[in-house]
Amino acid sequence: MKLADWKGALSALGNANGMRVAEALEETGWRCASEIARPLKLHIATVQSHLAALESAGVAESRERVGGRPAREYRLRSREVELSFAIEGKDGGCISKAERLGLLSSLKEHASRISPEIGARVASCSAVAPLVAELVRHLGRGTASAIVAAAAHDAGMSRSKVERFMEKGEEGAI
Amino acid sequence: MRVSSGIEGLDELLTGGFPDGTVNLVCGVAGSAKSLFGLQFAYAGAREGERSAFLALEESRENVLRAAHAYGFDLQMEEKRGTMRLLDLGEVRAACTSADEASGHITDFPALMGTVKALSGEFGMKRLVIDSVSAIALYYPTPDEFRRELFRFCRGLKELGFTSMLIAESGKDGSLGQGVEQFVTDSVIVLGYENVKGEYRRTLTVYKMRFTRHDPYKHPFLIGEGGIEVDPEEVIY
Repeated sequence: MKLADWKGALSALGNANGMRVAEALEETGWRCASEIARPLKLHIATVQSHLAALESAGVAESRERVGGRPAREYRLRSREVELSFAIEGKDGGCISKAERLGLLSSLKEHASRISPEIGARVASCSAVAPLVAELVRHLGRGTASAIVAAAAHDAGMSRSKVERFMEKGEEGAI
Repeated sequence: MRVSSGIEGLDELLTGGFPDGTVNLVCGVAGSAKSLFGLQFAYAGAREGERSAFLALEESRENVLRAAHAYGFDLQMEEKRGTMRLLDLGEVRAACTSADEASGHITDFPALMGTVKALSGEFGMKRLVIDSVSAIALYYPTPDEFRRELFRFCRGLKELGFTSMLIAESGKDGSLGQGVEQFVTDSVIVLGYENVKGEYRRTLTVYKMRFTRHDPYKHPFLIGEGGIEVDPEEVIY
């Protein structure tokens, strides 16, 4: 992606729903707006507008659906598209996709070690914020915060970076 | 109402068991079977269908399960049944860097109270064991601060209404825990491992028990196949 394209991409991904749509695309291959809208509980028109913004920013690409009813399908333009943007500069609260996945995995691991029961409850969480909310619900804020600190350490991130990331809300921070 | 200790012979010394909703301290030197005492209390409740929680602050979950298994306590089965919750909070302490622990007060009494409240709300236990509060004492620079926070913590536990057991280490000189726990808890039970007339024996003494009469003498106990067995008839002078 060229430097000039970052502005459009930032605008498309800076929106919470835009980011969710991008993440939905990242998880699977070609998908049309209605397939994305349903699990995200977004209106199809909202998803279409975010898809258009993502395509225009060069993050996603589209094609006419092959077979079946006519529809436009989208996917991320390249597996190498890195969903990490330096919004605030150095260590300013943004974390990369790889860091987020590392954090998620480590949080789940710690939760399971503390109690398999709690581990099972967070196993299906695909984002950090709901997982941490679940930890707070089961273990209280102090202990949840300690787990986040431990997971951040495992993922090679500073605790403050993770806290800022969480304060901002996952989507807004990336 | 009384809550059975689950320990053979002990309820007799307590005139029926622990008074309901009290905060009880069990302390002793290393190897005096404090953790086993706590496990037995929690497991006995779980087997009777009373939800019980065991918070391990030092031993790993694997070690607790292994120790329990040695005495035939099937904690995992009770977990599956929904009557037992074993939390390995030592895992959190071990995983955090020292800098995090020092700056974040992550395993101090307020954090622990947060966990207990969350657990109470979500799991609704009737019995709680914390093994051990000595691990938390490390985060307090002075006994005064530790006592103040422990007092608040015990008040919080009482408000939550379940019967709880705090486990603490005592020194070889006979000092109880950090020297402050016995003043803020409702009861103090001291487990010993001492030389009695040339023979090493395990001993149990109920030093203090609010809201009930209790036997104040030192009694021997054995660790049998099913855990601790106190002899309420024999007294060690």
